[in-house]
Amino acid sequence: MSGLQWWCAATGIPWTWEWRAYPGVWLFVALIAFLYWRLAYGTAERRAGRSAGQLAAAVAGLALIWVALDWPVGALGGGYLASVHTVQYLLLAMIVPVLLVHGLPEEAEAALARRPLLARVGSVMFHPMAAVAIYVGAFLATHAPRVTDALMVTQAGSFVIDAAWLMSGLVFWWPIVGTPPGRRPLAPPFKILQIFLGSLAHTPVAMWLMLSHFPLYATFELAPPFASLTPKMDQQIASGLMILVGGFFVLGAISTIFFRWQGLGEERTTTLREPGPAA
Amino acid sequence: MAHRFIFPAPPRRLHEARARRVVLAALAPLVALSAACGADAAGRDAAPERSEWRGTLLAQPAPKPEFTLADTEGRPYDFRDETDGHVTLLFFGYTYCPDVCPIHLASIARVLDDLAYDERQRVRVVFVSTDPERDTPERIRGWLDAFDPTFVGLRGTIEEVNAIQARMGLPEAVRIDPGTPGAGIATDGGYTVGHAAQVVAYGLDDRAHLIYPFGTRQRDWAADLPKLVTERWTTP
Repeated sequence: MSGLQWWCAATGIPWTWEWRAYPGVWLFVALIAFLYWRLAYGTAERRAGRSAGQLAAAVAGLALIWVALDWPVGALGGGYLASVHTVQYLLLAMIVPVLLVHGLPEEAEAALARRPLLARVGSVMFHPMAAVAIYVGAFLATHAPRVTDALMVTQAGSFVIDAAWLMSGLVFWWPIVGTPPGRRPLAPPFKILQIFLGSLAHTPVAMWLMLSHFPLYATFELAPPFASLTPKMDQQIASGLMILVGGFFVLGAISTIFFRWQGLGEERTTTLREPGPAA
Repeated sequence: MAHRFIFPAPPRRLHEARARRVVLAALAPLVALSAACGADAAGRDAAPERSEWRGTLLAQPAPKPEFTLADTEGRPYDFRDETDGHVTLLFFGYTYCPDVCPIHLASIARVLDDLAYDERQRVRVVFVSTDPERDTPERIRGWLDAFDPTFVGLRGTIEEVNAIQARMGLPEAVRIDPGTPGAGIATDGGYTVGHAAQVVAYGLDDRAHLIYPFGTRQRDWAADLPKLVTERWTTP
């Protein structure tokens, strides 16, 4: 069990701060970075179309995927602490997708939309109802104790959870932050509605974690102890992170969209009120 | 079938793998014990309903062993006398254990907290060190206090402890030095000790009816302990 692992998963080995290599994580991050960079900045036109903020978002998004999956965060979240597992979720399903989509120049999105197959698939997958269903479905499925406990003891299963979070996050946040292939830009009220619907499941699950009398996940309950943290305390911290950090992120996203929308409305009103040129 | 005896529910791979390290050696003697007891008398070898308990019900109850070891105050502790008429959870382990021991004891302590006062008074938890070389009385006391100050810690020579385990059909504790095949990770950089990973539960009739392998969760203890403190075990 102490041999080389390609992905972080629950091993039952007592935790030490000794660095461990996860080559599968490196390959995955490298592949994502390569594909993303080629898509986003593969041509001179796309490179010219990006802002410094977009570049920073893209770099931060890719770096955070690495942070979430590799040692020590990936290892701790993969088999020791529910709280770190929640940090992984917040990174992969919420923060990283927003950064990656924000980092995409419009030219790159337009290039994707010109591909008929992608446009067809995208028109269905990025439909608001489908996106919400995928996001909420992945969240609920990967937080069901039976599913989590069954998947996290294998590297492939743990990879499935991580990949499901990242992919469902991209499907959910792309129509909100950008314009995915096959879809028209969403109007701000619909973006707000989509975020609201997508985050509805977070609170009950977080409260379930917080109020449950016993630890819900065998993976973390029976993991070798980490410092003096009990499984119950760890689970409550996980719940708190989901409510506070997740809630803050969702509220921030809704506020940003709302105030931009309001600002846009005021700008239009000002433009309409300006006197036209004299005839 | 023998595997089911140790693990009543299908174990998860992780915990199976971890438990394998420490309990594989327990398999043969326990099965032998079970088989020997099962052949005791016709008609008495059938296990009662498994579904009643989360722990593994022994096909034939085992008597409480007679032994006296020093407690953490250095006083002799007669296991039979001190625990007579109490539900007794007996566990062999060591304080430097990085996984099985602290998890078992933390789970038991957590669930005992939920019992009513009179129920709690009927339960004794006895920990016997399998690592007397490093487990000083003070260290055992301090370690147990972190879980529950009422837990009893006992210490003897490794020969005495192994002899008790042998009488109970449990495997001897084995010191595993770093670098040895099968050695786990010792969090303090020292050696680990291979030992039986199950908690043996004695009922109010002073006989062992159930064992709780590693992988027993708090909710399992919470289901069984309130029943254990009232169960009269009328079966012979």
